[in-house]
Amino acid sequence: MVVDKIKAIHSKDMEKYLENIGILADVTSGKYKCSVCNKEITLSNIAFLYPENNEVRFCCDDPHCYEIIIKKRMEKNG
Amino acid sequence: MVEIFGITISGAVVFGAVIWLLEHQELYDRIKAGIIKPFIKRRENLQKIYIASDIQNKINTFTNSVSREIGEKEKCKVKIEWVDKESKESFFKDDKLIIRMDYKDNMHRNLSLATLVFVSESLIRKTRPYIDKTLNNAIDLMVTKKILEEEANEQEKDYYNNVFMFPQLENSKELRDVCKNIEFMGQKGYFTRLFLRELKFLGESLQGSLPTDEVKNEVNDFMKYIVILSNSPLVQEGGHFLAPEEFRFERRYLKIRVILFAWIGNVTLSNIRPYFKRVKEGLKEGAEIFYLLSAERSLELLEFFDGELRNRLVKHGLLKKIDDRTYLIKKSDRKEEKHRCIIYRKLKALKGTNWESIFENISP
Repeated sequence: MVVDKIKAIHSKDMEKYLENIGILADVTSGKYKCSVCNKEITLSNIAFLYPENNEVRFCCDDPHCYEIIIKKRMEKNG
Repeated sequence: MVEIFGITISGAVVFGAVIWLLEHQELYDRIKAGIIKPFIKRRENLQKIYIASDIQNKINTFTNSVSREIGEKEKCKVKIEWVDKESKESFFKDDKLIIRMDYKDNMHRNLSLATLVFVSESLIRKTRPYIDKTLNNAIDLMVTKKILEEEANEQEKDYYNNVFMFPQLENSKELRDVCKNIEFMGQKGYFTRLFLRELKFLGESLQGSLPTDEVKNEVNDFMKYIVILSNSPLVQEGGHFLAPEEFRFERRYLKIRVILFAWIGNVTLSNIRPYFKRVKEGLKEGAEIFYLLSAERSLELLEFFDGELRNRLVKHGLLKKIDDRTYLIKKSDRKEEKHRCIIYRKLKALKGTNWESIFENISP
């Protein structure tokens, strides 16, 4: 059986997780923007995060933005 | 207590049940989600177990049947991995999207995102680089739609359609057309059993080579071919209804012949002669895979033909049966009809084949 993992983070663990990967302070200070719409990322509007070119990228909770990111990832996998 | 070789019967039953549940993980997840659900609002720590079990159950129930239909040797299962303790190193090493999930606000989004990500990263993974972007995108959207149609609740389906599916279709006529083709193939049962199955083998055979426009064009033509096959009326040949001659797709990478059985009558050797003729022609003209497809009315004929094929071509080492499945297709009146799909693969070169001996009493 092949098991494909999907990584997930529960909202209540988000803060702890960002601290683990060393970017909590940057997120709370507003340094990160959504990779699609450039909106400021906060602890409450993250839809997902992913690595790209050795950097942490975020997508905000606007459905239009995550549709674009998912599509981009699909094309990358394709 | 009854004991055999030191093992009690009740112990053996429990052991057997555990093994069975491990083999049917999706059922285990369904039971777990059902037990936990009433307590979630009061016990926040159960939410992660519920969310993961619910998603795993819904996706894995569907992929069980799809894996079989597309000829996967191993079932592909999804597992939700909570990453709250993950380090920065594994975040970069795994190169995976991390989806935020919770029970209150994003419950409908959880399933759509997880399914879409799973489908795009797991289904026919090796073939993805060789087919064009629109087809890749359409496969992801349509397979996700199918999973949600069968497993999700109404709010989850509406969320997926309104947020993911419809906006993309509105923006691209090309994507819309490919999705329509996939839907059409699916209605006839050919999308997974024929189209995705061949794409899966194609990806495996091309692994390591560079993607080319030639392969992309061939795959696009193959899709058009399956759509025509799904819609084409059968032609009459000497009292037998057969698929027209163009029901062959023999190109550089895909060499397929489809033989449709759509005839009601006496099941005799003389009545299967035209089907043998198609197989013989196919073998001589370079077909490597033979799909024998039949609706309910011709199942008896197909079974008879299959038996004769075994006694003649399989026995002489020319063909090998690689799959045989019976399945249900919904008709326009919503009734279900039994269909069967048998797949044979050509095994060797035909040089020196004694056709007269193989086709004794038939002469196709």
